[in-house]
Amino acid sequence: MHFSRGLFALVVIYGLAVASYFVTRYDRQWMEGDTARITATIETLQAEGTLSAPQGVAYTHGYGYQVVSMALSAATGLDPQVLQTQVYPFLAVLGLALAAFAFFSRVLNDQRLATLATFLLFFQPDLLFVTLRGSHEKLSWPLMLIALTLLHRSLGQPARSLTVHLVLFYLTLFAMIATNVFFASTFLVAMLVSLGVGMLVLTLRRRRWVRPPADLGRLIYISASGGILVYLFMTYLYPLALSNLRLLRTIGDQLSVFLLDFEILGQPYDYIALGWVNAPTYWGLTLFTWLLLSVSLIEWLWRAKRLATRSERFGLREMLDWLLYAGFAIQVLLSVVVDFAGVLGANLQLRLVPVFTIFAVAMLARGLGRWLAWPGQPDWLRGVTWGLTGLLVIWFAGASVLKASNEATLSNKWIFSTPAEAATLHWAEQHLTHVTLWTSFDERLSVVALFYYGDRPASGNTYTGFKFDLTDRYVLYSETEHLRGLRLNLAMPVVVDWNRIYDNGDVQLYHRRPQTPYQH
Amino acid sequence: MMTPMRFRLLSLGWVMTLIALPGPVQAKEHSGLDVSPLCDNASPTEYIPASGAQPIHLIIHCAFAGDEADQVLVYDRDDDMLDTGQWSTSADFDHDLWAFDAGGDGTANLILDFQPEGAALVARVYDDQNGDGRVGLDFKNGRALVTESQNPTVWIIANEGWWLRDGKTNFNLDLVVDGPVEAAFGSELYWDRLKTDGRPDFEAHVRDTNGDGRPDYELIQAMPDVPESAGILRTELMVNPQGNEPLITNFILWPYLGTSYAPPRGFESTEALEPPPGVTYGFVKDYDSSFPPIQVWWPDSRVAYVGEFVASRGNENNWFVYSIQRFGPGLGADANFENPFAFYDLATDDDGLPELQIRVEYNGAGDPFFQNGSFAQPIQIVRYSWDQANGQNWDFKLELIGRHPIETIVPFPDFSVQTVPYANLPEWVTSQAWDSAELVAVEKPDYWTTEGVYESLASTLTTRDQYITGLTNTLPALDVANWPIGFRTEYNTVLQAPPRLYLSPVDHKLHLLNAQAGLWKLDEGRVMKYANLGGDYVNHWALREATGSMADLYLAAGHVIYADETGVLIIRADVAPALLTVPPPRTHTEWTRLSADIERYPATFAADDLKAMAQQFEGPRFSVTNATVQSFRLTPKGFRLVAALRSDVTSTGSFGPLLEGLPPGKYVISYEGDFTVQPATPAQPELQPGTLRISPDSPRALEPMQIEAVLNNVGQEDVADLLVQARITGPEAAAVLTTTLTLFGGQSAPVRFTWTPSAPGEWRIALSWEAKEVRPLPVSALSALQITVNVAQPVQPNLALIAHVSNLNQPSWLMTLLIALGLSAATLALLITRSVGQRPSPPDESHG
Repeated sequence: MHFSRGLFALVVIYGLAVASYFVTRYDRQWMEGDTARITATIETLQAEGTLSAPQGVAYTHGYGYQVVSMALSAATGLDPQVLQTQVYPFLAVLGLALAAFAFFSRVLNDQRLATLATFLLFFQPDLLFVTLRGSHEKLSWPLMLIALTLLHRSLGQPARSLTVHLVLFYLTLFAMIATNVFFASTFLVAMLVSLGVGMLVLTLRRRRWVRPPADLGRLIYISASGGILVYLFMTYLYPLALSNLRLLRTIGDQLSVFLLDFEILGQPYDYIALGWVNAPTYWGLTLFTWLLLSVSLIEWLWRAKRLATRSERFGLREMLDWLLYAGFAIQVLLSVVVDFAGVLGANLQLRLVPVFTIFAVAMLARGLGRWLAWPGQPDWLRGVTWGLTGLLVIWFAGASVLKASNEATLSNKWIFSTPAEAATLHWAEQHLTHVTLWTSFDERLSVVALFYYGDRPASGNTYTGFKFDLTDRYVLYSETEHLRGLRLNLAMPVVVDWNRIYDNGDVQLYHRRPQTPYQH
Repeated sequence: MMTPMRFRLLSLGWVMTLIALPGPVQAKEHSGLDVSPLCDNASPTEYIPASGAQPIHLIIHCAFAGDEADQVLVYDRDDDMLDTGQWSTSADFDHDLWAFDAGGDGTANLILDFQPEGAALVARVYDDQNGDGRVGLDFKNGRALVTESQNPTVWIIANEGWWLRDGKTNFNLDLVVDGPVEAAFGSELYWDRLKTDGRPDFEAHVRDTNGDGRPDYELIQAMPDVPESAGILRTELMVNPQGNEPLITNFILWPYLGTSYAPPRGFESTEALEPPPGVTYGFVKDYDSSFPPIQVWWPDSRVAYVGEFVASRGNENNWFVYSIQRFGPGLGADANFENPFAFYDLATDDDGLPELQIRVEYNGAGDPFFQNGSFAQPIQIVRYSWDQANGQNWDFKLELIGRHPIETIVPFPDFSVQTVPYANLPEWVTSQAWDSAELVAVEKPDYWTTEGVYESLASTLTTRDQYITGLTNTLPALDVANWPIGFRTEYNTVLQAPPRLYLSPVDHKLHLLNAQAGLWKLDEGRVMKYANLGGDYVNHWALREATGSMADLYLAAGHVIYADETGVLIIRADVAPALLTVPPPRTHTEWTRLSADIERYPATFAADDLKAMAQQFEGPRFSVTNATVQSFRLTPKGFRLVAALRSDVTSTGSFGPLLEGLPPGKYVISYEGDFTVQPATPAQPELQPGTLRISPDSPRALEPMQIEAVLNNVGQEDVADLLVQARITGPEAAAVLTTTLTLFGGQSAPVRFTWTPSAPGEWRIALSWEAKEVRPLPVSALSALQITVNVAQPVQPNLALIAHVSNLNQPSWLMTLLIALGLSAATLALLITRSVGQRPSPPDESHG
C-alpha cells in the first residue's frame, strides 16, 4: 500500500514536471484562444462584480471556473493572467491526478492499477492540452471524476452514508453544471447512454426484457435530476446559458442539412494537414492515442463478451467504467457527424476525446494489469515487455508534451508570442485608437491582445488575424510571423510604400498611406 | 414583471420632478366639458338603477364607432351616480368603469377603468387580449369587474389627480403601454416581440410645463424584449418650444380616447372605416391637428395606436430626437441617430407648415451603433431643406456630412439631452466646415414630404460609411441612371468649408460654392451636366441629349466659350463668377433677402438654352462654323481645347485662333494670352524604352517585388482614364494588376505595381493599356512590353531559427527537461508495471 502511494506521488511529480515544461517552453509567453477568452471573462466578472449581465465579454456556458479564479486571485493577490498561464497548469495537473486516482482506485479496485491509469493519462496529449491551457476543462473533468467516485462509493452504503454521498454528488454535479453546462450535459447524456447499454447487456444475459436493477436504475434518477438542475441553471440562475438551447437548434439545423442534403459543411480533419509540418509527425505524436483507442476497444469488447456470456458479474459498481466508456464513445462518434455538419467550430470531437480518454485509460489499465499479472510469462518475454515498454514510454512522454505544447518546430499552430511582438501590441494599444490592426495569419497574436486588453480594449482598437483585408490600414509586421508564413507558404501583407510608424528591430507597425483627406 | 404597484412607484418618481400644478381633485370635474363632435352632452343617456349583480349605470347612446347602435355603459363604483339626464354630470372619470359597446351587441369592445391612487388618477385601458373580439366584463356583488386580463394594455396616470379642469386638458401624464400597440415610431421592427404580459413595452411621459393645457414635450421609452445591441429606436423626444400644440379634437367622451380608422398591424380586417373629413389617426400627428392619442380599432376591439401628444413633424416650430441610445431621467444624456430633427417657420406666417427642416443623423465618437464602435470620431449627416417660395414645396436641400461633436446639453425639468439647441441649429449647421456637401434644387413643382428632400445623388450613407470614415479610397458610384427628373444636384466630397451658395451669372440659378460637379435631369432624354474645371465655381455647362445632340458652355480665362454641333462662339468677357454668395437661409431676414435677390436676377432664357446664356454677355465675339470642341481643360495660364474642323470652316470676329483655310481635322487650340493652333495627333501612350523593370532584380517567392515603367503620350490629345494592366502568368494562378492614370498630350507618367510571387519559377509580366481615346495596341508591339522573371525559391525556415524565436533564453534547460521527462517516465513506467505485475491476484474480473 505504501509502495503504491509512493508510486502515485512520483506520478504526481512527473505531472508537475510536465506542467513545468509547458509553462517554460515559451518562457511563459504562451497563449491560445480559449485561454484568452476565459481570462477576459474572469476580468470582466472582477470588474463588474456580477454574473448576470456583464457589459463585457461573457462566458455563456457557465461561471464556475471564473468564480474559482476570482476567489484564488483575491486570496493570493495574483493577477488572473498570471494564474492562467503560470499557476493553473500546476494546479490542474495536481487536480487531475488526484481526482483520477480516486476514481480509478474505485473502479479498478486496485491502487497500483489506479496509479498506472493515472500515469497513462499524462501520455494522452489532447487531455494534457485541455488540462494545461486556461480553460474550464481543467475543472470540468476532475469534477466529473469526483462525482463518479462519490457515486461509486455510495453504492451499497447504508442510508445515512448514502445520503451524505448523494448530497456531495449533486453538489459536485451542480459545480460541474455551473462550470460548463454543455459539458455537464454530455456527462448526463453519457449516463443515459450507459443505462441503455446496461439494459441491453442485461437483456442479452437473461434473454428477455427486464426492469433495470436498483443500482443501474439510479442512472435514470441522476440523469433526470441532472436535467432538472441544468434547466434551473439555464432558466433562473444563469440565463446567459440559454444560448446553449439556441446552439442545440443550430446543431439540429446543420445536421439536417448535412444528413438530408449530404452537404459537408465542415472539414474537421483539415487541421492534420495544416497543423503539422507533415503527416508522419502528427501520427508519431499521436501514436499513444491510437494505441489507447485500439487496446481499450479490444478490452471493452472482451469484457462485453464476458458480460454477455455471464462470465462476469453485472452491477453498476463493477461496470461503471465499462458503461461510461460506451456512453462517451457513442458521443464521440456522433460528434464526428456534428463536426462534418460544421457546428461548434467543427471541433466537438476534439473536445470530447479528452473525457473519453479517461475511460479508455481505465480499460487499458485493466488489460495491461491482466497481461502483467499473467503468471505463465517466461522471463525473456517479461524482459522484452519491459524493454519495449521503456522505449515506448520515452516516446509517449516526449510526444505528449511536444504535442500538448504545440511544439513550434513541429507544429504550424504556434501558441507563443515573442517579447518584441508583445511590446508592439502594447505600443499600438497606447498610441492608436479605434483602428483595425492585422496581426497574424491566424489568431496567434490577436488572442494575445485579447488576453492583455480584453474583449473591448480601452483604445477601441480591433486586433485581427487570418485573411488580410484590403481595407486594413494597419499591419503588425513580425519577423516571427514572416518565418511562419514561409513555413505555411503564405506571403505577408505587402507594406511597400506604407508608413512605418513603429519599429523595435524584430517587429514593425505599418500604416497604409492615406489616399483621401479622411484617411489618417 | 411590472406590477401595478411598480407602475405606481414609477409614476411617483416622475411626479417628483414635475413642475407642480397643484389643485384639489374635484368630483364631477368634467362638468362643462368641451365635448367632441362624436359624442356631446346631448347624447341620449339612460339611467339604470342597480339590479341583481349589476350596479347603477348609465347607457350613453353615441355613434362613436360609426353605428347608431353604439353605446357606452358607465358603471358607478363610488355611489355618486345620479340621474341628471346628462352623462357629463352623472358619470365621472375618477372611479367609474366605462365600457364601450360598438354596435350595441351587449359586449364590451373597450373598457376604461378609472381609479384614484393616492393623489393621482389612473385610467386602465383594457382591450381584447384573447382574440374573442370582446373585452371580458362581469359583475359581482354589485360591482363591475374586468375579467379579460389582469394586465391592462394601456395605463394613463395623471399624477396631479385630474384629467380636465377649467376647460383645460391635463398634459402632465405618464403612460405605460403593454402589448402590440404602435406607441413609438419604428415599433414595426420589434412588433412580434410585443405582448400584453405585465411587462411594459413602452413608457411615455407628457409634460405641460406652463399649465396652459397644451403639451410642451413628450418623452417615449420603447422597452421591447430585444437585445441591447439591437438597432431600434429606444428613446423618442418631441418638443414644442412655442407651446402651440393644437387642441385634441374628435375624441370620444374622454379627451384622450379616439378611433383608429385602420386595423392594427397584423390584423387583416375586411371592414373599413372611413375617417370623417379632417379627422386623422395613427402614431404621427398631421400638420395643425391633434388626434386623440389612444386610438381604438373597434371591429377587433384593439387599441391600435397610442399616438403622439406632441407632434414630431406636424408643426413648424417643433423638434424631436429619435435615439437608439437610451436617454432620459436617471439615464445619460447621450443621444444618437436623429438628433436633432427640427422645423422652422422662416416665413413667420404661423401657417403650421415649416419653411425650413433640419435633420441631423448623429453618432458620437465610438458609438457602438455605428460600425460597431470602431470609428473614433463623431460623425453626422445633415439634411437642410427649405421652401424658398413658401408654397409648401421644398425648393432646396443641402446634404452635409461632417465629423463635429455635439456637446451642448439641453436641460428639461427631469432630464437632459445632449443635442444642438433648437434656436442655434441653423447657425450651427451653416457656420461649420463640412467634409462633404450636396445641394439639391427641386426644379419641379409640388414636391413635399414631412422630412424634407430625400433625393441625393452622392449616395450619402455609403459615402459616410465607406469614404468619410476612411475605409475606402474611392467614392461610391453615382447612380446617374436613376436620378429623377426635375432635380438638380451639385456636390463636393472634400468640401472642408462651411456650405455657401452663389447665384451664377450664367444660368441665374443657385449653385453650391466649390461644387466639383453636378447634374440636372431635364426630362427623359436630356441632361444638363455641371463641372468645375478649376476654381470655386461651376465653369462648364454641358447639355446632353439622348439623340446625341450636345452643347457646351465654358467660362475660362476671361472668355465665354459656347460650342455645339454647328460651331463655336467665343466671347471675350470678364464674367463675375457669382452674382451673390450667401449661406443657406437661417432666419426670416436671410430667407426674405434671398428671395428678393433671386427675383432681382431673373433668367431671361430657357434653362436649357446654353447659347442664350452665353450671348447674354457683352464683349468682342469670335465665332467659327463647321467646328466642334472635343475636349477642354484649363491650363495654368489659360485653356486648351481640341477642336474638330470640318471643311469650309468660316470664322468671324476681331480675335481668336486662325482656323480658316486649315484642312479638316483635329487641332489643339491653346490660349495663354494669345491663341495658338497646332494639328492634334491622337493620344498615343508608349513605353519609354528601358523603363520596364523589376526590383529587386532577383525576386523570391512569397516576397513582394515591384514592377515599374514610364509611359509617354507621344500624341497631342489627352487621354483620361488610361487603364494600365500588368498581366502575370507563370507556374501558378495568373494575376492581373491594374492602375488608372491621366496622360496629357506630350507628357509622361510613371506606373508602378507591387506583386508577391506565390511560387518560384519563370513568370512572364506583360504590360498593356487601354482607353476609349487610344487605339488598341498592335500585336507587334506587345513583345516589347513583356519581361520574363525568374523567381527563386522562398527562404526555407530552419528549425534552429524557429526554436530560437520561440524561446530565446533557455534552450538547454528545455532540452534537459524533455530528456529528463522521457527517462523518468520510462523509469516510472517500469516501477509501476513491476508493481502491477506483482499484485497478489488479478482484480475484479471473476466475480461471476
